[in-house]
Amino acid sequence: MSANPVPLEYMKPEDRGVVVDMSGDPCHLKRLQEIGLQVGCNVRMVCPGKPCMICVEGRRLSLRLDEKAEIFVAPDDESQS
Amino acid sequence: MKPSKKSVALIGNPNTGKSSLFNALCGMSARVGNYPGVTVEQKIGSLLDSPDPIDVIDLPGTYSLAARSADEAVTIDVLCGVQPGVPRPDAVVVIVDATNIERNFYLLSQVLDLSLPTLVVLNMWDRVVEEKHRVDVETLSQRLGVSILCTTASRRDGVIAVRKAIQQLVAPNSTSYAPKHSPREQFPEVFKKESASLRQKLAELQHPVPAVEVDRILIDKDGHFQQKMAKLELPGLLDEIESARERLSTAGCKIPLFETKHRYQWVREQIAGLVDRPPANQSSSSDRIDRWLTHRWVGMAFFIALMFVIFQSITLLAAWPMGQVEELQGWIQGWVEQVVAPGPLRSLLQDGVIAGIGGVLVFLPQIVILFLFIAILEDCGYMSRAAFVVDKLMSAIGLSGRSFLPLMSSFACAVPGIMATRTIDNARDRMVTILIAPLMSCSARLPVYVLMVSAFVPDDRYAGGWLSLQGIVLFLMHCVGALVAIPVAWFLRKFFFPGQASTFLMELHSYKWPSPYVLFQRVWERASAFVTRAGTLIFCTSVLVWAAGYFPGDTAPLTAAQKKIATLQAELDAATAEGSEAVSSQLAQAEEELNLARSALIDASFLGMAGKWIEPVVKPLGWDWKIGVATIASFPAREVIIATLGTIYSLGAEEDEESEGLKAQMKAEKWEDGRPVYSLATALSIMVFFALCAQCSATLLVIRRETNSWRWPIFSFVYMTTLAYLGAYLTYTIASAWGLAA
Repeated sequence: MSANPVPLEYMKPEDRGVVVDMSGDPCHLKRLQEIGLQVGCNVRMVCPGKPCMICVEGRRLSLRLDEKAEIFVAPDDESQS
Repeated sequence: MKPSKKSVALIGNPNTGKSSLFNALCGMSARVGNYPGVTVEQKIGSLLDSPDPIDVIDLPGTYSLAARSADEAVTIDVLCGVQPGVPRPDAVVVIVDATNIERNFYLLSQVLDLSLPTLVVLNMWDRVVEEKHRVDVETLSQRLGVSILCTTASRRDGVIAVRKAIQQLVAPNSTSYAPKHSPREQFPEVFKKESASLRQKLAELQHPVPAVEVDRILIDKDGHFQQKMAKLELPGLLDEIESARERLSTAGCKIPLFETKHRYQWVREQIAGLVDRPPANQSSSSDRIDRWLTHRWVGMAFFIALMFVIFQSITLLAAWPMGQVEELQGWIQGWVEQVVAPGPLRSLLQDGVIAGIGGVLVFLPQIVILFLFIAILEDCGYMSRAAFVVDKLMSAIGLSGRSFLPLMSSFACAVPGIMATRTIDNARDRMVTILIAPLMSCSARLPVYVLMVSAFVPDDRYAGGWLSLQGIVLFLMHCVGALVAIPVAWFLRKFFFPGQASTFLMELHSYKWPSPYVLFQRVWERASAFVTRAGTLIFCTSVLVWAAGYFPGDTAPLTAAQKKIATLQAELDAATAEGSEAVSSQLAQAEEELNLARSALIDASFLGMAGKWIEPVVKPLGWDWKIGVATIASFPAREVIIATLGTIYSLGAEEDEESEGLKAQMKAEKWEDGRPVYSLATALSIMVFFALCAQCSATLLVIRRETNSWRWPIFSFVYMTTLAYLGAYLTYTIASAWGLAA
């Protein structure tokens, strides 16, 4: 069973998961999606904080979201153990 | 009529090896310039091994055709054939990172909508093989209806096939490569209807626009094409666009997110069952390095330490080549003295040309070393990590890590730095970055610092000779501009460009060994630009300054004294032992006359007159009129000060065996009361002035071009010059109070 989705900024280093929901300013979200961060993709937190560094399908992205944006990630079971 | 020469455009995501492929396709034939009217770099090469000439246009790397920044706007304009001065390409080559097909195909789906003949290149194929991905290239090619080739451009694998395919792509009767279908067909019906009706409306207004552009007008809110439409001032058009968006939104087609949804859906359909890759989210060695280099404190400390080491090594490494260039300069000067008769021509060559240009060229080694370091840091992938580390600081003053890369390249030169701001999509951030970029200590300031530091800062060494005081001062001088930029940026963001704090989004490519080819190209480009400037702008200023310092005084005593010395020298050589003493004393007297004639000449010259007038203004900074005049002459380009000081001191020099070189001449300069003009306080005040002043016409012109108004270059000039004067005044006052003026 997969755990409840958590906001991206709650992920700790090496936590993995799948993006399940994104909300916020549409133009901002579109940019994120175009660079490859979209619902359904695998993410791994490399370096949390503001900005944070995440690994999206093997690519490293650094990002600082605008205040309204929220990205929810369903953590993988294995990263919970 | 279409020009007979065919062209293809090369497009792809950033970091997909596009530049390597471009270099492999075109060899060294690339011409780098600017697109007319904008400062986006235009790179065109001719395809190698092609019987008919074919131009390859390298477009800026982008994730999407939804243009937000200036370089993305050029990309779509070129592809649509509306970029002035560039004919629409006959075909497109889309380069795709084969290890990340899904994301890269998003851009491909937009390109296919343009219905140009298209070739897809799956690059980095070696990694696909290495990491055991599975890509069914043949079926994928059939599904897409375009041809697909696999390459490893960094090793030039598969490049010949790409060259052949490009030739077939643009061949006159080739139809096989035109894409079969256009992904926009899968857009919701209601969107297609709105797009068609807007297109019709535009056609009725006598402004026909291709369907793809109409899509972009509707999808990209306040985007590039909407702004273009706004400029046309067609009545009611913008309202029409807005209400069309509202209708779409109520019909459930959310602008702009429906585009990514539908395009990614299209991508998934195309690659379904054909592309498999192992889970990619394993930790790698890059991660382990990153954990330290991007750590909040360790990362910052590392960055500062790295910069410190760089400036230390510049002083240590450049000493030897610098000495060689100086020696060569002295040798040429001696040669001119032998060959050319005394008079204006000899003075022009010796005092104007050689002392001027030579003085500047001495600093070529430092500049090459600085560029090499910056190029290594950029190419190995460290710079984007540094941008990540400083984003926190930058966000505190309202900017983002995105501004860091342009600012960092401004340490080499503000002109490419300001041009690099075109990648910043937030317009307010971009303006602030443009306005503070000239404060970063560019390589043209390096000669000024090195001259002052090596002449007036004691050569104390610590830590067994590895740490030099001169290197420390050099490093601190480079910090001055960056530190001053912080409050300036905050002030500008707060009062001139208020608005929401910007977001930050950047892809970091994995660490790699820098490519020697890229390093050589970058260093070569910048070094040759520096030498060209020395040969043109600095040459002209040197000659002008020489003329202003030579005329309109009476040159007869000077020429007479020089002739007298020449004859006495000859006599001395021929004289017997007992006669030589008398000749020697005559010679010394003649040299005295020469020195008097020299200083009388420069005092009576145009330069001397201007200098007397300027002296009260620069005296509070601890400068004499010669420094003042040299500084004013260096407003077109700051490194000119070396040349003008060289010329001024060479014209008015005390003829002395030991006073070879500018440094010695500067140390010998005296006020009328006999105190030396230069002290550590004067040197510091000069350096601070140059650190903060906007003495670069090229930068001001680039600001004018980038901001499209004279207001901002004038603003930059005024604020920086004021800061420079105040900074130099404070430095001199404080340093004098510390007793450094003696």
